[in-house]
Amino acid sequence: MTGGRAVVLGDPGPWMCAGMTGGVIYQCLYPDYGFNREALERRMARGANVTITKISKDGLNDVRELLGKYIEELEKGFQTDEVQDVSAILQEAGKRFVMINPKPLRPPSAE
Amino acid sequence: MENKLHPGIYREREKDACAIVAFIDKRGHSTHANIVQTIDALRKMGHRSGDINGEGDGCGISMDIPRDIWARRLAGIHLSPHLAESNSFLVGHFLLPASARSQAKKIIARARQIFKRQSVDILLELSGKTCDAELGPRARQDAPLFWQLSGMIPDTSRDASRKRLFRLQLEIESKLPEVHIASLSLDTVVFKVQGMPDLLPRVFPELRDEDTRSVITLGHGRYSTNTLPTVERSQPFSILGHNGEINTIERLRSTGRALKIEAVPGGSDSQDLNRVIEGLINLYDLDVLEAMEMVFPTIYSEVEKYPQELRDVYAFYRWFFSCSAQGPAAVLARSGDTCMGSVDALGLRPLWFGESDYNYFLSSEKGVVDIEHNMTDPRPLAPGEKIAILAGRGKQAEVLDYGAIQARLVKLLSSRRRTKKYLNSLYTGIPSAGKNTWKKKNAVISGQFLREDFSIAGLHDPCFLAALGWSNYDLMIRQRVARDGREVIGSMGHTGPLASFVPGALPNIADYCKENVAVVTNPAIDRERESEHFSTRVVLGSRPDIRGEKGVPPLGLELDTPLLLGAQAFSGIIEVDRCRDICAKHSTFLFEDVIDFYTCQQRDPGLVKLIDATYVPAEGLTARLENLAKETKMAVKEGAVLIVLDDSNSFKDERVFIDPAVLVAYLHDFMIRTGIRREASLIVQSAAVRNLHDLMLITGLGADALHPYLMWHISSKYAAEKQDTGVVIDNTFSVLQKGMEKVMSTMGIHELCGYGRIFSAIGLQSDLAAIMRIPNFCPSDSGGLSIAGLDEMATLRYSKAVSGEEPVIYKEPVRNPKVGRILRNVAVGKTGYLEMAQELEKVAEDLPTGIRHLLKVISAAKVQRLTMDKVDISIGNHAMPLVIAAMSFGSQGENSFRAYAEAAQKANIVCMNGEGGEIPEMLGKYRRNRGQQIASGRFGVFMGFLNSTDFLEIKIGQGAKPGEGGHLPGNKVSDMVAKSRHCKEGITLISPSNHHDIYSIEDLAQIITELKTANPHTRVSVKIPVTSGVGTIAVGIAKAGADILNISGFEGGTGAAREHAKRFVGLPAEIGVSEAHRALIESGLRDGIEIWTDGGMRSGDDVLKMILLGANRVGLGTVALMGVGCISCRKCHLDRCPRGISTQLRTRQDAEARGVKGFTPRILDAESENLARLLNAIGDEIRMRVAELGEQRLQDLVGRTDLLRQYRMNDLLDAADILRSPSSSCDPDRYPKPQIVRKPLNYLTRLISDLAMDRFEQGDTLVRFAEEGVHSTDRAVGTYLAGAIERKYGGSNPNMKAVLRLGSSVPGNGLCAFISQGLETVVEGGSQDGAAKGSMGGLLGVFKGQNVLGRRIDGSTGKSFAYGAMGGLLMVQNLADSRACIRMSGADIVFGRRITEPVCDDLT
Repeated sequence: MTGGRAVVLGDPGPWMCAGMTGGVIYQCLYPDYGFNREALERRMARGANVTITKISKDGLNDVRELLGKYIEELEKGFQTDEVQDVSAILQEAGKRFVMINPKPLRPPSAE
Repeated sequence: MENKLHPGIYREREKDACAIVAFIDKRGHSTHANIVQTIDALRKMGHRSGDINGEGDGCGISMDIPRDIWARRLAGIHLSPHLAESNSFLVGHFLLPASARSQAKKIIARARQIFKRQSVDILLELSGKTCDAELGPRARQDAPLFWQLSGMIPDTSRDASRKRLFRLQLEIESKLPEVHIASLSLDTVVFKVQGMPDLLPRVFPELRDEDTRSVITLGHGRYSTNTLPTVERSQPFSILGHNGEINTIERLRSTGRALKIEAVPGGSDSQDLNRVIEGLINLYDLDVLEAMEMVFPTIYSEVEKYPQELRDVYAFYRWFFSCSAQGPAAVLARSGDTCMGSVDALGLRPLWFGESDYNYFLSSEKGVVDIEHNMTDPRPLAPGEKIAILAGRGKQAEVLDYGAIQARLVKLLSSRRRTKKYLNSLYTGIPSAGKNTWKKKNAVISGQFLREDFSIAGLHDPCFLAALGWSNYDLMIRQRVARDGREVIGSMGHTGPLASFVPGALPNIADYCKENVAVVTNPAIDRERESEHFSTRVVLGSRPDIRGEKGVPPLGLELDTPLLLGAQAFSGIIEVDRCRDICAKHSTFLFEDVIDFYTCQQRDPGLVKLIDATYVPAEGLTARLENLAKETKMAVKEGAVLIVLDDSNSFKDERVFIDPAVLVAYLHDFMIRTGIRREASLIVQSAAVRNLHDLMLITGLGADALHPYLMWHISSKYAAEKQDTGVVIDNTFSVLQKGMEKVMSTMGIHELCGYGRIFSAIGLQSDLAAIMRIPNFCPSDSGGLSIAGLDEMATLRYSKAVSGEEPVIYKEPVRNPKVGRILRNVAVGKTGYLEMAQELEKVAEDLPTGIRHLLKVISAAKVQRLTMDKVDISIGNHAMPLVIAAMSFGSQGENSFRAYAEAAQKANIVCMNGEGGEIPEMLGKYRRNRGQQIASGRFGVFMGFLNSTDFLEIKIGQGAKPGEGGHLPGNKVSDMVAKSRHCKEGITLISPSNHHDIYSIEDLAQIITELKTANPHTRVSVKIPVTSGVGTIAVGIAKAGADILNISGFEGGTGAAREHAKRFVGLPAEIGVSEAHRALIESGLRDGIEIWTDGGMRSGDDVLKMILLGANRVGLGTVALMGVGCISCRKCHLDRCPRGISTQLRTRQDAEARGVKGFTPRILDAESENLARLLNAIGDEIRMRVAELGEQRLQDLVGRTDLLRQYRMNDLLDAADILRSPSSSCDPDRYPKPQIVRKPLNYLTRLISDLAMDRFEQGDTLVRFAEEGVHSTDRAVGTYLAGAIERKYGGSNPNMKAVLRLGSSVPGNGLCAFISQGLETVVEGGSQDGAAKGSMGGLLGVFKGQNVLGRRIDGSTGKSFAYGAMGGLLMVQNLADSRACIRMSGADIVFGRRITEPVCDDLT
């Protein structure tokens, strides 16, 4: 990944973020279910070179924008229960989400 | 079909890529529907299998024995129908090929005798119960005779019966090799045909009978890239059906052989995978769960997280069965009542598990079961995951997830108590190293394993080095690696001669061998991304048996790497303890410590046998090898578990080292043949191991560990003030270690244990080739390197070593600057084509590099010559058969990049753009003369780009660095580069080594379909490096629908590549073109495809020769650089090109600031003129040469190898095989008409587009399209419309909007690929692989759909979701299979699956 925004509500699975050099991932955490920051760190691939930080204000806006559109589509599909559950997450987005950004790569020196 | 001189080339390269499916009745009911559903699912996945002229490559099903049918048949001959229900009842299905039909009676009679000898009572035989008239014309001609039999087996226990059947099967195989056994079992029968799945019930009346019923049915549809598909290769086999390719097949076969599991004669990789598994089950009493886990074990880094008892399971499996099956593999297996699904460790092939109303199902595509009939969310199997379903008549099926399977494995191992005890003698460290627990106080390191008068002082003597085959290249690499601590990168192409051409340089066998790489049908692995999968672990010593009956328990020592350091080679240079520290850092040991471990400080020296790997050349190598083999056998018999092949005795008393590659190849095979390979391991201690390539070759040939003492010693000599000896040795170790992983990754291998004979040789004579057992090009009995030649060379080596004269270490001649001057002179108009032709001919004469330089075009007699103006060298719309080979913006500066396109337009030829997007303003400007490349990074690949040109090229690999990707550092990503690549300035861009959406041939077919859907007017090219088996790969690519096959030889240039890759990886273009051309003709596909080639061509003469060998057009890359003024300073990779060609430097000031002296930027107009002039001159040279031949049309000469002859160096290399004509042509016209025409499976994407475009034309700006029940057969939905909008209204923000709502649908692969703004697609149901790849705008939503119960299910997407996406809003409500969002550079994505229960950390 070198650019773009991704909102991940669930478990991203193993070996995540290998080769990420740009863009941002907003990851929802579920401390009640044991999916906390440490669990997220365990899912990072060896090849991942990223930072995990508290979500920023801009980040929060991104999450609101993207989840808003997602909820809109769920509504169109009459998935009312899901709308409620996702909206509940959106309500506490500031607490629930962390941001994953790539660390700037040191440009390799020429030979 | 096999060529005698090419043992095994075709065989080795057979591919099996395909569709697989299984239905398992969860109630335990035996139904006819079970079979019908399976065949129907195969039909729906028809696009995953291959065909020639509409005839499918083959398919089959494996199902329960239809007992009711057999009962009826038995009753018909007055036998009790109840026999069919007996535990001892067996059914066999056999296929006798058409060629053996006339002998059928005799063959069947002999088979009967074999059954009789095994005391099987045959009850009933049936012969020819097939409707062959239903087959296609080709298959009808080859239709085999179908022979069925039923009988009773004498044993009472099922285990004994199964074993007897396996023995029977092996006996029939060896005694009646013409008979193909489709199945011979107490449980299952297999039906298979050469053709599409709908043929199965039409060809086999039995399958139409309503009494034919099954609880479990496995189905398989095949995509064959073999020259001609045959029914014998159709799957499933006795146990499994496989989608993918086993990259480690060579090692898997030899590991099997060492366990006395013989490979199927002439079998494909899938067939032999099947054989290994059935061998483990039947010969070693393993459960199918155990056998599958041994062959497809969990990766090391995951196992480390498991509890001890499970770690024990894997430790034992790895020790017992040393080679894992690696490479893309989705496997369905059935043994008895157990049905299994398995996905390879990297998850390269898709396999979905789902539950419908009455069934569990496993399938390559989930969409084969309509969403309404799914009961739960179908889910993709994760990388390395397995699932087992225990089913059978009359019992509820039970699903075992991976955790449950592993729990069973623990139990099963515990039940083998004696075997488990062996784990006590498997060591992962040397107890004595450091701690001295086993060691006598102050014990000295054992010295006896190097000769007593061994002296380090003389080791780096140039005489000695030259005699050992060390070249200037090796010393340069050792120095730079030692000092810089990273692999050596270079640029431009390899311009050295083939090893065969320079016997005086005393090349070693390794120099004749090139590494093979994974191409198309199997992928290279993205090593950076998947680093946790990599392991170079080896286990030394003896291996365990399965029953715990070994007299002496095995003694194993596990190392993280096969590389050993040695104290002796450093004595006096560095402290032993410092060496040990370096070893510890890399989890390996000193050679001497390993010896001490096994001999307990020489208290028990019998466990180690030192073999003197030198000989007196006059005695002959053959005799010496035989003696050493005897010596080895004797030593193993007497208890040796380590065999050390030591050549330190070289160059004394007439003795010369034996090339370690030959010795290892010979001994490894000998030990397997004589059944002692598992009793001892081979350690190579050699001075002739010089570089990474040597390491890989010798390991691949069979060495278990290496101690390259001279390499360590030479490296230590490069210690400098700031880098002491320890540092340079550590550097060398690290770089070699990383290099080994990199080499493995190019072959799609992540565990070294599977890296086998994955090399090809050029120019070995048959006797030597027979020892090496690798594909050998230019084979011969008269020219090339032979064993006698090795003896002669050894004599030379000896005299060189002891001569004491001023020795010359071989250095390759410099060639490029000479050529560059000649070409530049023509480009700037100083000289003309005649002088150029003569001068270049002289260079080729003096400095030959490739096979083409040994060939001459046969001139016609004078009377036949034409004048040049009578000659037509055009092709298609283009004036000349020349192509400017792909170079990217990024690697090239703006002006040179533009000059290539301009010059190509002026000369009216094609110029390919490299990967890296197009400068926006150039898009569409050169349509007719421009080709765009789609490579793994997918930079700037969007709908507008795809529609800007007449040629699209999928770059699988390039000759200079096959199997590798690229890396553009952030500081080179200027504003302009970022714009053309559609990414952000300053952000580092990584091109993976493989396309993350091409993991098999059916994936390639899929992306070709997607590209042609996006731009129906384009011609699609597939660029591949040359590797052994390129012929079969070519056939696969042609079948996948490519219009052009671009073959890139290993001499090709590059902006940056490892020196190792340039020199040792891939094969010459001559070999690639001649093999591909021949294979395509032999399979009747040549007319439909153009062959292009590049890689080292510099002159019109080269171009003409390549065309005579079989190419239609020839690419020139380096020539174009030279035309615009390249001086071959080989600094492209440094971004410091003093001519402003391969650099982003633009001005003198910038250049000076970077320390580049004499910078002269290119002037676009002048250089495009110059280059066009040069290209036209090359065209004139070609015209002149064709005129001399007396021929009018150059394209008529394609493949006319009769016009070429070898005129020199016949003793060194015999090019006859390259010039061989195709053995037979399978001309489609040969077969009776009419050929089969089918309804296209994939038309919805076009239909939607036509409907929507009609409305837009009528002035509507918003179109809504709604559809229910779209299936997996409808691929790339939305893509056609996005392309049509782009072509009609341009990409400039059209106001048109199309909204697609697909209810209860699981559309096929490539949903919304390359969509752009204005297209909104919402699916209720699910999607499959490759959705939203390359999207630039618009919206794709994949939401849950409702099943018949009204429950919301699915909402998942397949592999490689949003690969390379640059824009758009993409939403997935449930799971995304592996490889989501790779190389995404700008889209917005929501993954909506929430966590609703506590997560466990076992993440398989």
